[in-house]
Amino acid sequence: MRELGQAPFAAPSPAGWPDTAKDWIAPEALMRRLEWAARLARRLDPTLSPESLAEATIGPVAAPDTLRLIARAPDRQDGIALLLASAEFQRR
Amino acid sequence: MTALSRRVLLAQLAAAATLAGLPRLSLAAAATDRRLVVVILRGALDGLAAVPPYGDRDYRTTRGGLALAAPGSAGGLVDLDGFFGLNPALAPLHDFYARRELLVVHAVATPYRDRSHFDGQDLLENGTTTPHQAGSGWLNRAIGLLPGADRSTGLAVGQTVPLLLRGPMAVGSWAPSRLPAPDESFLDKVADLYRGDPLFAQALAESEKSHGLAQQTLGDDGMPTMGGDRAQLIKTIAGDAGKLLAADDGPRVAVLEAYGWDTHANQGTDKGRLATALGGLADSLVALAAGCGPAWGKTVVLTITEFGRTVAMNGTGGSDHGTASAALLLGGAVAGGRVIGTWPGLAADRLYQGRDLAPTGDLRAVAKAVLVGHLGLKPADVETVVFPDSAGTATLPRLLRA
Repeated sequence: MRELGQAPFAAPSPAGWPDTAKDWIAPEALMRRLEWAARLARRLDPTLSPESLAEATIGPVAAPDTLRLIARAPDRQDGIALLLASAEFQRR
Repeated sequence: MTALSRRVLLAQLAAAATLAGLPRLSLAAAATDRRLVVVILRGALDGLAAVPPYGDRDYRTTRGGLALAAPGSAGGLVDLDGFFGLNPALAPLHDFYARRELLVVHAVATPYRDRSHFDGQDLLENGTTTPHQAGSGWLNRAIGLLPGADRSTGLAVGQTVPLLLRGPMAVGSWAPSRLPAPDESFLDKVADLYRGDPLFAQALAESEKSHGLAQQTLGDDGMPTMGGDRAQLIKTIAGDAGKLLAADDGPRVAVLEAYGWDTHANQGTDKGRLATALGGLADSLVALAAGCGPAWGKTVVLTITEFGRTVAMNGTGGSDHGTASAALLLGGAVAGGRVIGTWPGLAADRLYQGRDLAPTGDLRAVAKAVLVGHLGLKPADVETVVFPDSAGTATLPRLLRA
């Protein structure tokens, strides 16, 4: 959590961490999240179905192109990394 | 306690100790003195770019911008036998070829004839004729048939155990504490994902800009990021895997995985995306061989990939999903110095579905020959347990040294 920039109990104000897009879409924060997504995916079960996970998590809001790119990833773990990296997933 | 159960207990303790990073305790000899390493190339290797058939009269016209220059020219391929050559990025493997420790089997494919990476890899690893037929891998089933095999025989190198090694037989896994970072192509794919989202697209563009700048001005902070010393780390992992295999009481069947083969865009020829991946593979194989040391003489390394790529270049300087590709066999136990396989030719009427290198051989036959000839498994067992429904595959010429 610290690595992703939001250490628990260390919010800037009693209102907690900001959750408007401009606050967490800062370029450096995004890059860290992308590296995190890619590294995490390489630790997950390589037989998981990225399409099923995508359907279960972002199904209702996913752009068709997003689902298509996930399904065409070069390997399953990469597909999951792309799911975690997707704008739809990050906006949940 | 009987001798047998004590051996099993010691093997279990030894396997646990290996996972915990402690020195191994074992009085049990390894199941075999032969070593087998399977390298999964995930993303569909362009076999025509790895081992170009430059002697084929249709090579240059069909491959267009993907064709490599002839041997002897700048960036030209390394000749192997006057018809086939090696991508110059694989030049480090030429030494193996000269020592007859590299054998290329060309125009081979699994039974899979569709174009999904996920399904293709499932079938590549489960060893059957449909993607979802088996929840175990053919190599796991093969280890189960090896007399004396135990939970320390198989080794998954990496953070997860691939389907290829999953199944009834327990296997070990080993990953270094320092891991290679995601490769650059991940960010390219994320950029594609963000195409419809201006907010994310802009944030990504800005972060790539400042990230690149930070790398230059501040230097690496010790954490490998996109590019950088990732290649070195992968080489080290391969070398360490070799050392594990070399140990008297170490694993005997290991799996490594390599990525970066899905070159739909900007594939390049002697330089570029694919050349970079090939260079990394060559360096890893060299490191693996060095790590194996004296055990290299009893080692076979086999590279496998889910399918090949289209013969012609696409509209983005790359290639799309194809069918047949090439498999590499390396090792002191390999009867190398040859490129084998029935070459179908690249004329338009010889291509599979008018677009791909036609498969004239079955990749399972290559694996079968190694399991039988190198690990000593019984052919009947291999055809029923390891590769069910594979009895029809044509036999290959001899792959291994006597």
